[in-house]
Amino acid sequence: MPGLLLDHPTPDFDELLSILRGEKTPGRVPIIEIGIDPEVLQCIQESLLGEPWVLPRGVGGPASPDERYYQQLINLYYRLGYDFVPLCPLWVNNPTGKIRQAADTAEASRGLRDWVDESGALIRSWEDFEHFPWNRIYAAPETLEMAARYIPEGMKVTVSASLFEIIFESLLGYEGLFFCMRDDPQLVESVFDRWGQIVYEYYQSTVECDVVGAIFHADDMGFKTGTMISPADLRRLLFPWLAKYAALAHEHGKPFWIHSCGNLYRNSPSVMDDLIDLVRIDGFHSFQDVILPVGEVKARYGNRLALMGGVDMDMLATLPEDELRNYLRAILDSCMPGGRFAFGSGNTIANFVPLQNYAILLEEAHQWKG
Amino acid sequence: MNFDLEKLKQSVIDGDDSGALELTKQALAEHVPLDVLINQGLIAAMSVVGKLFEDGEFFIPEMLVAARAMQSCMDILKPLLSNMEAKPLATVVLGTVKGDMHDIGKNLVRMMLQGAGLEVVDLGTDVAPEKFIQAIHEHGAKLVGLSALLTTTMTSMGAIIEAIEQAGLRGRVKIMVGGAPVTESFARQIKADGYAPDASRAANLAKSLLGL
Repeated sequence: MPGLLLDHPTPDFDELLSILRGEKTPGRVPIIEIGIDPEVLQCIQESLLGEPWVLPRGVGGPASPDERYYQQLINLYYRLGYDFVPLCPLWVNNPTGKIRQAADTAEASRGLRDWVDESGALIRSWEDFEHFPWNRIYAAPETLEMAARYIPEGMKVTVSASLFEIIFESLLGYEGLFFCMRDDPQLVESVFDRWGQIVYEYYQSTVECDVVGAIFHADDMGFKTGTMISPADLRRLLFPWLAKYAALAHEHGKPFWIHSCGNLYRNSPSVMDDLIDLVRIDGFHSFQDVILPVGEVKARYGNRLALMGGVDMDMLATLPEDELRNYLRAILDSCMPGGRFAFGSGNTIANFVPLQNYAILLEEAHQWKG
Repeated sequence: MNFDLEKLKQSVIDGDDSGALELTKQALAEHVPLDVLINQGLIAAMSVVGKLFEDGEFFIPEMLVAARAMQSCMDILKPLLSNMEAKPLATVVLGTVKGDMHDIGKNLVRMMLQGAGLEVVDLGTDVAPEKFIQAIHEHGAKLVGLSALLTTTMTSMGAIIEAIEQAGLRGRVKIMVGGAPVTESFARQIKADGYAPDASRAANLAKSLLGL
């Protein structure tokens, strides 16, 4: 598939940072992703590179991470033209939340799609809290060591973990968290404190490594018309932790980027204002046109932080080629001038994004001349 | 009538379920008519909650605890209503479409629809078109609500609307859609009757589509 893989990539993470900081006028369109679904990567690995796909670790068990997976992952991001590879922790001793499954309707179907059981929770009481293995949970350190062995010159990895999202997706559950905020606020605070500390320790142990270029924290805070919990509660429960993570990154001279879906733009000061002024994020990722198109976000906030991604998922997944190209060029035309922008999907390259459309996104990035 | 309906309303808005329950019991003891209690007390309270949500003053936790308070009152009122053979304003069939297991948005819509005095048949998640059709027949529904979280699953909405049309039920029911990737233009494209961006507006839309 033309446009997808580069023969001679020249990753330059330092240049990406200069562009995102607004220190350098971009001579190219930097591209970024916080995630590409394994089905998409597998398809590229098998059909374009002709190599077998290796899983991150043994299926269904606590097997150790497979070094070949990290080698393959880095090579794929490298050949696709990225300056960094986003890495997530492989948590050890971490109980998983209840999962439900349904047939996956995506083009690159995984057969069954896992869904969070939104009424499920690992912690429903203080007894559950006391018995939770907080002190035994850690991120497998070898993943970063493995990545470091294969990272090409000029390229870095970013480390991503979640706090709020883990709490509502598995620890307290959606409904559990929302009811508990009223019924037992102390339990909510304690869960934030314990998981917040685990994430802090993960970032602390990784951010000092040379191979790590940035912390790319991921925590969905909202939905189409607002935030799930009030901005006041976000300020009280979540932002102090995010600010600690940001300070940690900054102490090591590295940026703190955040991914969060949802409408963070209501009222003044908005949650986005808080993320910039209180948390001190350096870059923001996740855009949905139905909330606020990236061009408008750039016009509103582009002088205060870097914007990353921008391409609405529905557009990317559904537009026919001509319309998609026009849509992508319009984003580049409005966001590239002045820098502080990197191009990519508004969320992830999900398995329901046709590979052809992903190739068009990359091709438009490579061809854009301004 | 000495009973303070405003106090009941406020306790629901505040999500004070035990307070709301006590006041409902007190209202019953004082022979407050059920329709007054429900319409001017509970439903009116949830309408305020919806407005506060739309205005960005309430968020999901506040909406959930208010709905729980209303539900605890309705639990003791419902048996009395069935004794009176009272009928709900209308019945709505609600579900998350085939291939999609997202629950929370749909559940919030259910609560707000109930809060608006509608009877809701919640089919759950991953619901096939034939189940919607069966439920429309079975419950004499006048409105169908479809929810989807992902671009890849929202296409099922069109298939469900087509199936309802092929079953000859399209003239009998209104259809409203919602969910993260769903937009007004997508709703028009698949010939839905309406689109709502969140749970509160879904309740308003439902009432408007039903002419209430």
